[in-house]
Amino acid sequence: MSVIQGEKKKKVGVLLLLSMLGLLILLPFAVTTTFASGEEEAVAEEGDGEPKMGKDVFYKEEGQFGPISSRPAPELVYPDDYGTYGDYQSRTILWIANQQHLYFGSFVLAVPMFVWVMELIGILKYGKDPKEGKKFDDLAHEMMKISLTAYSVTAILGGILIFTFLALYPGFFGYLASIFRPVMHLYALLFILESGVLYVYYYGWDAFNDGNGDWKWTHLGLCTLLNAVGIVLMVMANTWVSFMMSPAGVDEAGHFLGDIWKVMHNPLMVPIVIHRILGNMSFGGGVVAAYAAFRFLSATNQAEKAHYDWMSYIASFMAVMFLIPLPFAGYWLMREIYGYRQQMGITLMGGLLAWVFIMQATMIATLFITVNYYLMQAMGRIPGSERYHGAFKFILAILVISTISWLTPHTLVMTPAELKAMGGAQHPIVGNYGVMSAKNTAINTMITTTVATFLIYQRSNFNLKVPWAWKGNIFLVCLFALAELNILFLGIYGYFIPANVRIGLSVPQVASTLTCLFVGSTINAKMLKGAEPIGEIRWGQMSRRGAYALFMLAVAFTWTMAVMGYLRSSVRLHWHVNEILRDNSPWAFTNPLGYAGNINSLNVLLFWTMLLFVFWLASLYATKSPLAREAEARGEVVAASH
Amino acid sequence: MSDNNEETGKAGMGAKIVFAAICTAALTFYYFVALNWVLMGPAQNLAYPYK
Repeated sequence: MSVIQGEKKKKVGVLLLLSMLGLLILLPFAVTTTFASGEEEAVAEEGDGEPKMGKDVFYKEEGQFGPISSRPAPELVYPDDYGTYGDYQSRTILWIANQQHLYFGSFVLAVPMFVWVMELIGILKYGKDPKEGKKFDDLAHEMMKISLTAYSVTAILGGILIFTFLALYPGFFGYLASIFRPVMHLYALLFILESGVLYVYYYGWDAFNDGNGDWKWTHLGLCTLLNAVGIVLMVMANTWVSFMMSPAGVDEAGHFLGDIWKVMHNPLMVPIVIHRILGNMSFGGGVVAAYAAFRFLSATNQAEKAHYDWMSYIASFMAVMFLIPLPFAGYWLMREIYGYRQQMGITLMGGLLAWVFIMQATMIATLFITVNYYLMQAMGRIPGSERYHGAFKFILAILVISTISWLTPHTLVMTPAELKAMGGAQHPIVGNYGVMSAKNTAINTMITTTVATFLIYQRSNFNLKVPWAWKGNIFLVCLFALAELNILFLGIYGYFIPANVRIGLSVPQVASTLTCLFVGSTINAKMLKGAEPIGEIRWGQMSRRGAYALFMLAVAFTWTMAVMGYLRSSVRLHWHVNEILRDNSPWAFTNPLGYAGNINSLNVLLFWTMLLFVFWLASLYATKSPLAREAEARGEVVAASH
Repeated sequence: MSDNNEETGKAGMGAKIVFAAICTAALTFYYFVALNWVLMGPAQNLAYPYK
């Protein structure tokens, strides 16, 4: 009787909690409506009759004009509008504060997306195989555990970032706050909602857990809500960044024209959001894989080793799944940047910042080589994979050739004597590889090769049993070979046609790669139906090199994010808000590459130091007390302390 | 091809594989040609949407 009453109380409690959360969702909207209506009134009261109208810097035709609803962008003066700590560059301090917040923010927003997938798989599998279902559920729970500590760090870093803005860039921050005022509190309130949902979701894990019953689905619903709020938060933060690059919803003097959506929906908002979501997912997967590799290397028994080996595989699979479309999203973003301001695109890819793209190419090539290397090492624990070992050296050769081609610069930094000896800034032979035709060919080749390695990995443990297996094999070989030939053909053809035609070649190149990805993996999955395993996968027996490769992968992700973030931010040159708010501080110049590289490395180092602390905390949490260990040895069930 | 196949007039597995490979290669080739043909034009318009 008391058990039933307890159950009832629990259900009522959960329902109350959920309705409270629902009300919290509505709260920010109510607040925004109040803000928005207040603003309209303020504008109406200002003038005698009609409010003064301003002309939007971006939106044309309908909606081109809007009521002037704020002060103009201020003309900032150094040192009055800037804060300093001695002679140190305030910009660098802000750069570090921003980057650290972004790293942790990306991580804590990406992990719940994986957790959602893992929990769903767990629920779906539970009905057929409870043991397997629980395995995925535990994995989701463990991922969330790492994210929870990181969440506190993110909030602290967010506070540090705000204080840095207020202390060092009060003039700039004041202007940005005047534009985004209608949504700034919405952002803060959503944070409360995010925290509330996160804590209920995490701490309610066991309370909601009835395998795959109603409460488990409710728990998954909480994760959906968590992700929905997380994505909105990320989109909002991204609109500030994209507004600084490509302002809209303001006039030439920087007056806010009364429509916050136009400010948020600026020309680069959507591609930046898409690129960042994909990037976050890859990065999050990489970091979780590194955590699993860390636990794999420090595991003291075989069961633990096997668990973390499996976890590292799942996390790295997620990372790779989002890494593959990432270059295409990046390409789209660049296209939009060219569309918005051609000069901005040229500064990025052909001018001042072009060398940073060479650094980026090196990092992304490292990512792809590392992914392939990890898969090859991971195949060491799969019986049957020996059949494919011979192909590894060819795969690596293709990847290395593509890398060399990709990171060849168009022009070199040289002394006058070297310039004279070479007969120009461009090398007569090597210089040919420094153009987009060659670079696009290289990256598409690398992605196609990675897809091929992955398909090999998937089938390495099986003897195919479908009667049409031989036809499927022929089809896959033809598909990959001809796709690669097409990519090569389009790359070479690009040298013989003018630039405005050449730019069109990249799309069929990408389409060839995507065909391999989607058609190849579908056919491969169909071929694996009813396939016979050659032996049991020896989880826990991956080489240590494979685990180190995962560290390499995660660090390469971190460094790539640092370098590309620097690039995106630097393209504004001497503007805080492009063409609206000028940077009048002494640090309005573009940093030398060496300095930028050093600060990026420092950022990576700082992040990983903090992250190792988070990992250590997570492992500390998992350590059982001596009493619990003894009880477990006796076979008693010990109530979870969390 | 073995004598047995000559007698029965049936092609061997090797011949079937070669035939299937050529046909698939040809069809895949057509697919990529069509892909280039269809995508190259619109892609150029996409590249300069603001001119």
